[in-house]
Amino acid sequence: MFHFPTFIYSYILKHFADGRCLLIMFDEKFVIERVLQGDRQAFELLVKQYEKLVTFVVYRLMKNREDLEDVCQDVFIKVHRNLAQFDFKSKLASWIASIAYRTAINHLKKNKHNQSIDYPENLDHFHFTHENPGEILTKKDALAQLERLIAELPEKYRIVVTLYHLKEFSYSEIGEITGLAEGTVKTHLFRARQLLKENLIADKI
Amino acid sequence: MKELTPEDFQRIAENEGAGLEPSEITGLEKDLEAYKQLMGLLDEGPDIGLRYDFTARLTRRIAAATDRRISLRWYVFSAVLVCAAFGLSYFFILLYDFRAAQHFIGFVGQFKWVLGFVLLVFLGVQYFDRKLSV
Repeated sequence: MFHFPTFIYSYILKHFADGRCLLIMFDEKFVIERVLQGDRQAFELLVKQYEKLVTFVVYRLMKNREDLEDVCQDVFIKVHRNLAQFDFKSKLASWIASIAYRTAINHLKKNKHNQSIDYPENLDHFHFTHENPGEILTKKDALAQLERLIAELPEKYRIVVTLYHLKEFSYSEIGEITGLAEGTVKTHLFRARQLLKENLIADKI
Repeated sequence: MKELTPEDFQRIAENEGAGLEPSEITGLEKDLEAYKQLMGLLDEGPDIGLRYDFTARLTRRIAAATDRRISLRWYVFSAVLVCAAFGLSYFFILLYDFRAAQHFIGFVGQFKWVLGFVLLVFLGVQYFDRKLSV
């Protein structure tokens, strides 16, 4: 596999540390090696590369949004601490997503008293508890309403929808991250989107 | 006409429904459009971001944790080194003169609190020196 010479990479890391121009050339193996050697800029680049992934996963799973940043920090600290154990058998994104998923779930378990929604044993029987209030006028409103509805979904639905629509993972990779069977991932995804569509957009059209 | 399931709608909305004739989706455009809009919103993701200094604060936290780990290792190493120094001193004195070694042990036993205090002060100075220099 092609690698940029180290001095070029160092130059880019030094002068374009915001990562914008590096998204197309992010070489995870090289960056991991640099992080393990204690290169702080390489770690910053890794954080920027996966910030969106971690933020979306944690945001969609959290009940208490005030803790979002703390949990995201915990995720990246775990990534930094355990990076030497990453075996390259899966994509780095999958590995980081599974850490983000487990960290957010553990956070939810610790703060269980904040949870107020009771989900049915069989998720096929899940329905939203209220009707879509009024007509949605703008895209911003639609996004906000969608987030409210997603927050009501069971966590398995939420994580599957989030990971799938990041457009980075296949069904089997989502299965690896969440510990669900591939068939279950598909079922959860279709069911979640069906519920969202019925409650979000049907009235508008 | 084949009846489309919600899964079919979603696949078509994601352009995976190849093989369906336009006549097969006639009258269902409204549902398809709804799914397409939903997919668009889901692909866009939540309007959320972390603070601009997230990475800087994260790296500071990691550096502090790393420093704490190194410090702890260093303190343990120092304590072991001091104990080893006393042990070795006793061993060499013992090789030279048994009675002198006994005196040495007696001396250490007599001033154990003073020696312990000196060791604590030394480690304390090192700890605060590191803490203030971070």
